Amino acid sequence: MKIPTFVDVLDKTKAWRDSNTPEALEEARKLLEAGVAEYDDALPLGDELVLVFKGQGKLDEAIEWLVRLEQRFKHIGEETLCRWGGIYKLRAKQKMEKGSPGAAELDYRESERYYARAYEEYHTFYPRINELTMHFVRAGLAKELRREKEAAILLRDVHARAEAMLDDPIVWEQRKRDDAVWTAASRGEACLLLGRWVDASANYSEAILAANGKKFYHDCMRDQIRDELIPAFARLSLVIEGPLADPENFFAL
Amino acid sequence: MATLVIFSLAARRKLRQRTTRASATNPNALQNNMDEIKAKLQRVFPDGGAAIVQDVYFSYRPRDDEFILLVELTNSDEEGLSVIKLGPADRLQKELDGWHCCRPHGLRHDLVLTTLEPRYAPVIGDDTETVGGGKSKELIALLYADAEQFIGVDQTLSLETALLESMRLGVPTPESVADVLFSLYERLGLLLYRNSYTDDPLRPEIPFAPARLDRRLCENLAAWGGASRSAFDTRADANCAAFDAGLIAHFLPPDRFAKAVIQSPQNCLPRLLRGYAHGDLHGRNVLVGRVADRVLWPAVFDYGDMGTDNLIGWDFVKMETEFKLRAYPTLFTGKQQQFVPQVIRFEVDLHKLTEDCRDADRWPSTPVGTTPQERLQWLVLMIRQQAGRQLGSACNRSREWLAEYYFLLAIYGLNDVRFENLTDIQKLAGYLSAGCAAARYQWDRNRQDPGAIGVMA
Repeated sequence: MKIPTFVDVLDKTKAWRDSNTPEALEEARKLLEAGVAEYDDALPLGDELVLVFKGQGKLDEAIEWLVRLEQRFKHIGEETLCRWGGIYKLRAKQKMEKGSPGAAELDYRESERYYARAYEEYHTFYPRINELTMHFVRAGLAKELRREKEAAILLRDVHARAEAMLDDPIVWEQRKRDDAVWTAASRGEACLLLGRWVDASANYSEAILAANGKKFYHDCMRDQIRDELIPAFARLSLVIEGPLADPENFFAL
Repeated sequence: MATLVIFSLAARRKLRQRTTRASATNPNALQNNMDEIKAKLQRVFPDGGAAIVQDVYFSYRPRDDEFILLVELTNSDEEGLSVIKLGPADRLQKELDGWHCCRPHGLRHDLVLTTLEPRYAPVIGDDTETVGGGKSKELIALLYADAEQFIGVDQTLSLETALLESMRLGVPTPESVADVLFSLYERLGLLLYRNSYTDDPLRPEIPFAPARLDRRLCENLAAWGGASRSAFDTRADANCAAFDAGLIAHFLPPDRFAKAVIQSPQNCLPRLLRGYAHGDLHGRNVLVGRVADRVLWPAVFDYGDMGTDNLIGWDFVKMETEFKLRAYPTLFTGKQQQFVPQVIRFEVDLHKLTEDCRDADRWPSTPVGTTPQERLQWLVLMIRQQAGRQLGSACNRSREWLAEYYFLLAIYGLNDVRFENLTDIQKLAGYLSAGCAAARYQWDRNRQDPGAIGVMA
């Protein structure tokens, strides 16, 4: 006899991560939905289900689950909160591509809320830099939507908080194996938000060194600058100077 | 002349704490309590002199109509220190019956197991004659006699206080607390636990029912699975934080474990030692005397759950669990996400150390270090050493007692959900402790008998 737990459900659904096929994702969704009903106290199952929906491109369903999980669980881990922030960010980007900046702004705001919550609870660099970047993106959108005064306030907040972040040693404590990459990249991102182009390049170069040729890290850093920061700078009538102006080239392997 | 009843400052302070909630609606709650105690003591000791209430003891679930008091009497016939329980006649009678069932033949005086004397008094307002010609009487108190060992000591305190202070401060010395544990369990072993039998789940003496494990088990499971927000949060916090910290293999939700046991007892139950036992042995039901930096002379009272078919191991797991769940929140601070992995790591280390000691048949004679955490580990280990002796070597079960112990830790730990006077973090501590024991039990049982129960996740 084996006493089953929610971990068994998670183990069964892992296959989708390897194959990432629509069939595997659908099978995982079914297993996870049944698992969530059986193990109502297991947030990792709900969290995985959100990821599966994301993998299926069903961001609305993913977000619907996020709301449910958030209502149900009092304590949510840092990684989960950041993952949720990332899903809102992704949906916001899709809405921008569809030409709906107003709708996108709401999702950016939600994304920022999750990152801010993660930072408030855990005081770590990863949620903080994402929170600041979302704030910066919102400044760009406010300007584009002709709310100049709001854009200026948002931008001023970003600068003040980014300065404080760079000066706060606790935020930069490395806890995970690949934090050497992410702390350097996050410092670079903070410097970008402050317009310190040289410092930004130096930090990103350090991150590239720590990434040791792993494409995943290069792609993540490139995507954040290319997809979020450069458009936001443009909306604020600003341009990134130096080698980071061309992230494809800077992060090419 | 009626007996003069005097309350010490310590007793008043404890009574005030106990009546704080009632005082919200009744400003005279404290005075009413003191008047009630005074009236009852005057009925218990009608022959004059003085009764000085030195202390008031609380069990984990204090009942409004029940008081356990340390009383010093100056009456020439009964001069000395006694622990007295006042309460409703039916509950006192149940305890008295339990005592009579288990009381060793010929026992008149014992340092550890305080002898129990019933006290009767004429029923107030009832003047009818009984068959024998006297007035009808009711049981109004139980006297745990022979607390003389505490005369002259610096302080009389509960074993729970001694354990917690020893863990936190190193005083009383952990070694003296371990000596007390030895005296306590060795004496109970001789007087009670030797009257035991092994209940084999494949050949049970009495067919299995959840109440055979814990009479509150079904109630506990209903509370864990019910609509209570607090219970849900505890379960969720334990699962999520254990998973996030990569420690989920060491934690098996104890409520799921207990349900599996109920569904398939033959596959899940260990062989259990049953027999004569106290049934409610925890640090608040044992008094110890303190002299300088040592504690000594344990005295057990409160026999409300004493019985002849109790789980012997219950007397150990209750002591351990109630100690740990009050110790953990003082040792492991921070948010749930930090608290959970700290507790699980501590529990896992404790289980491994216990297994090493059992295998080598050698237990450390002092704590390995001087931190509260190291003292806690050692003190719990000392409880387990006594469990190993009474459940294991004393009855030729050296290889099987620890699995039984883990099993009972898992079942007992479910009780915390019902206790309103526990904080959320204490309930979480109890749930985690039970879950770690359940996981260890499953792992240990699988190692012993791969067909019996599944491999740990």
